[in-house]
Amino acid sequence: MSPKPLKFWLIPLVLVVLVCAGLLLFQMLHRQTGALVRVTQDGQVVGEYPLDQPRTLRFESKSGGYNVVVIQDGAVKVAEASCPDQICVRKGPTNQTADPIACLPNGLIVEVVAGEGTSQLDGVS
Amino acid sequence: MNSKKLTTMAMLTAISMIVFLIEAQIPLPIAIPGVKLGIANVITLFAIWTLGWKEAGAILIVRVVLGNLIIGNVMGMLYSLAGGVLCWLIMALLKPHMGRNQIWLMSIFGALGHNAGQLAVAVWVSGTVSMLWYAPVLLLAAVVTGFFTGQCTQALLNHMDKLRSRL
Repeated sequence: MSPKPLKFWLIPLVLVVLVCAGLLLFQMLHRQTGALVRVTQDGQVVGEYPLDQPRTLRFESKSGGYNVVVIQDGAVKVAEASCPDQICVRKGPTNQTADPIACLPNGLIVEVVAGEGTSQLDGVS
Repeated sequence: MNSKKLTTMAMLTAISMIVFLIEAQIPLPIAIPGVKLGIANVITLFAIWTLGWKEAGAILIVRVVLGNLIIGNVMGMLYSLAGGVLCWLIMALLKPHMGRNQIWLMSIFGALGHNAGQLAVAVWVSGTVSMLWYAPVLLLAAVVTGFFTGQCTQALLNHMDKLRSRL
């Protein structure tokens, strides 16, 4: 088997990059300020909290880890985590949909959803 | 398998583990789960090119299992394994069709496979499809990191050639 020319490989590569850039753009435009914070741990929804009520929550993972989730000033953030990489903490606060905060070592996903009243389709109509 | 090959494999495994452990200590400025340079993949790519795809697979598995055990990240092992094996599989399949100066392309396609595999595990483990929101940025990151590790491997291979010719 002989090597294929560069062009042969560049076509799928450029295609992947373009599709990803397009999806990223779609995602940016699709984002909107949500009303509800949904917390999922190990595939189970463990709680839903309104974004406009300040509170501090603590979630323990099965493996003994924990995350402190803080809702304040109309945004949600992970303030403290037991994971080594601290990616969830460093991500900072968000009030946008389609912008989940993930702490994979603890199986925790914190995401902002539209909630009742603010339909996902509002922006379209 | 002769002892020279076995020794080379053992050395490459040791090097890739050291690289893996050091990289795990360096925090990246971007807070996106799963994004890292993946410098240890230089060794996988180098092994595919100089030893063969099976040998590279063996080195990869030992590195992923032992490396994550040393870090103490059992969850990480699942991600590394899914990503690493998919990356290795893609690169091994591409190898016969790639020229020696196209290693960076092999590496990019491998990195795309790696991040896709990791994302699949993330969706499975977290049980939420919302993780898929990270797909575009993870795949774009793979193109960048894959290009980087590919160029590293290219440089390494070229230097090894020079070294061999002087021995």
